[in-house]
Amino acid sequence: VTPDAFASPRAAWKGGAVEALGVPAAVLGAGYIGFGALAFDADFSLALALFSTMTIWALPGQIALIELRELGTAAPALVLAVMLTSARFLPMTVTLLPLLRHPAYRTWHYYLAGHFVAMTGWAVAVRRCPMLPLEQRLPYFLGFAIALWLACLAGTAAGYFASSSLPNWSPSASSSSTPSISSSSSAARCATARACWRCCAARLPDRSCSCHAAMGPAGGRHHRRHGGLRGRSRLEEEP
Amino acid sequence: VSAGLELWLLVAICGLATFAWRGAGVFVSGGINPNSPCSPGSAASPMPRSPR
Repeated sequence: VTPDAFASPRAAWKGGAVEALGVPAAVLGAGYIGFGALAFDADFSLALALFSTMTIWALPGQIALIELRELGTAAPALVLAVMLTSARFLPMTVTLLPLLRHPAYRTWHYYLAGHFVAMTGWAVAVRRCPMLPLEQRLPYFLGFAIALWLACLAGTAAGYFASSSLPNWSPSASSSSTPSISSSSSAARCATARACWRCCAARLPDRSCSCHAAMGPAGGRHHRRHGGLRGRSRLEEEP
Repeated sequence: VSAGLELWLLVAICGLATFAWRGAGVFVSGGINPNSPCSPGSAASPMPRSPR
């Protein structure tokens, strides 16, 4: 049972964090486990994966960032795509922030709260905050959202480590079940980044895919990524 | 600029691009008074009160 008011703003902060550390944190954290695994396969360092969760904290934008970088998209187009996936934050923030304002808080507190606006925290805050005294709303929201943010960072790290420690399984060991495509045809198929992606997805035997030669560094990234998804050592993939 | 640094820079710029929406929302919301007489449900509001 959640109270209609806490004893103090500090209690509201703690209460928000406690409410977040249940189903909301588990659901969001599970989503970020997937992101951590994706970041590992895209050759992001753990620090960089965590940095993206810290700064962007919007899963669609983070996935777009990794996928578009893998496809070799130009940086301005990539930034624009990530930005457009986050457009929802404008109406969400405009509707939430008036509920949180109180003369006791300074402007930068609201900009800090703005960074932590995400779908789960917004939905809970819009429902709960009107029931709370004005001075407790911002601490409650920050407690709830920061707990979720930390859960997402933990999920990112967990996914990254889980992906790096998956058992080694190579399709070459079961090549009888994989399509038989000659090296010459795979070279033709790997003329573009997307073809390289399909080539690797077709589970060609090791090194028969000529992405490296055909695509250079971009093809290497695709090949390495799909090699990573199949559990091979990334060192084995380098030409 | 090394490739690693370039990637960090790209992620930082994407973070700023995402915060642009959140920051703009905070800025715009500063002009909204939830206790305004024109807010929904108030006596002066042209919008009908919700039935209780």
